Amino acid sequence: MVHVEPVMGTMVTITIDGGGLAAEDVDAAVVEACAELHRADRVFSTWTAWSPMSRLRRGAVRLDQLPDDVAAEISSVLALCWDARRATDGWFDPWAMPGGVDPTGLVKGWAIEQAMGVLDKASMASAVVNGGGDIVVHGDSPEPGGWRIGVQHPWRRGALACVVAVDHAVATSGGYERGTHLVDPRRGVRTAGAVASATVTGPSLAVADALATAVAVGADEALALVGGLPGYEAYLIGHDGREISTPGFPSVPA
Amino acid sequence: MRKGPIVIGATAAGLAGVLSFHSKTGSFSALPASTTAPQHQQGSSGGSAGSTSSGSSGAPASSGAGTASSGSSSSGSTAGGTSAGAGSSGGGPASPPPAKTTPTTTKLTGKVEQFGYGQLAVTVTLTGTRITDVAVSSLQVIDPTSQYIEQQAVPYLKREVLQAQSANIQGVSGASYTAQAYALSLQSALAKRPKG
Repeated sequence: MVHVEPVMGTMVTITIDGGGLAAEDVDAAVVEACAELHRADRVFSTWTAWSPMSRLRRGAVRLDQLPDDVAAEISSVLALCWDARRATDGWFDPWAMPGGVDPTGLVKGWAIEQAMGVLDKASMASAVVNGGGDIVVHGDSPEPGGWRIGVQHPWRRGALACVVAVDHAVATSGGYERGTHLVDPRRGVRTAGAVASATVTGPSLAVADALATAVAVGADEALALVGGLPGYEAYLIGHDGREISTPGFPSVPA
Repeated sequence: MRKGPIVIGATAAGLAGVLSFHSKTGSFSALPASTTAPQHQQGSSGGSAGSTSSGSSGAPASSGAGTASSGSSSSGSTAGGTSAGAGSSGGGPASPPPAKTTPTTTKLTGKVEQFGYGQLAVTVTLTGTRITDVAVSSLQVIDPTSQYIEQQAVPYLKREVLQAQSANIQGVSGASYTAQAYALSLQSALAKRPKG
């Protein structure tokens, strides 16, 4: 079945094959997965002024004043952000965002992964969760060759730039999707992106999401850094149409 | 405020997955979503009042082979002119007699579906079992987002549907659109396909 959930300012699509599971169990797992997405959105949204994350970043509340579970969750996300910041030499840097620390570039991928965790626990035969192009897959692919995910071409609408074989996660970032929403952390200014599109594959969607954001603003330099991380591969399309990828980027024949 | 999530069928990226399940066999006869869903319609605004089927809910308007029924551009031929490269399988080049080799062209209109900015319905053209075109047959919007939807999202979604049949992929990375109404209407259109 396919379920679409409007959440986190985008459409999250859950495509699942329950295998031998009863339809009610599949439905229940989807309901729970979606609840997880909404819960993550309530905690981390920087679009609503009163989310714990918004209050935290403007200094209206300290971490130790939040409920323990919320504080623990924010801490673990910020820890992931910190790792991604280090790994990208600052090309991903939530602490350089205007208005205070902003983990948005990692949270969507993280939340989608949490939702997949729910489906995983419910023993789905296979599942794909796709949140605005941040995709995590689980279980056996419907085709023998493994999961195949298309990467949208940044300006040829509807065309694919390439197809990638995905074991777990893939994230794409770029200015084309929603206009200028990226920030160059080294200069502290909004940017349409140093490249037209940046795609990262790897074992964690949260990290892949952050790394794709880094490549979108850090271009070749950030791509090379991603290539040095075990399990992660990157691919970028320049504004001029040039395409560069790390040596192990899993593109497959379309 | 609605309580549970809404089961609303496939969005474009989801469709890529849904369609690919069947692309090997060339049969699109069973979208999984249409078989599962106790389709809770969008609960909040105004209920599902708009969800009456626009097309003649009964007999799908199957135009005989070779007649381009009021479709978009191409005059004489079947709907094969669209990008999916459907072409007319087999059949000699420019063979006038629409023999049995020419696949039948069928147009099916889905339900009018509500979405955040209004409502829309799509009409899908099938040539044989292939989707060769998807057109928005009705679109009503309540704010300036309409321009975006018409100019950006709809053509995008259309191509993604067509593409999903050929690229054999389970999703698209980098796509972010309000697409559920489109996909839902498409799904209900496809559900009208004659069996076999």
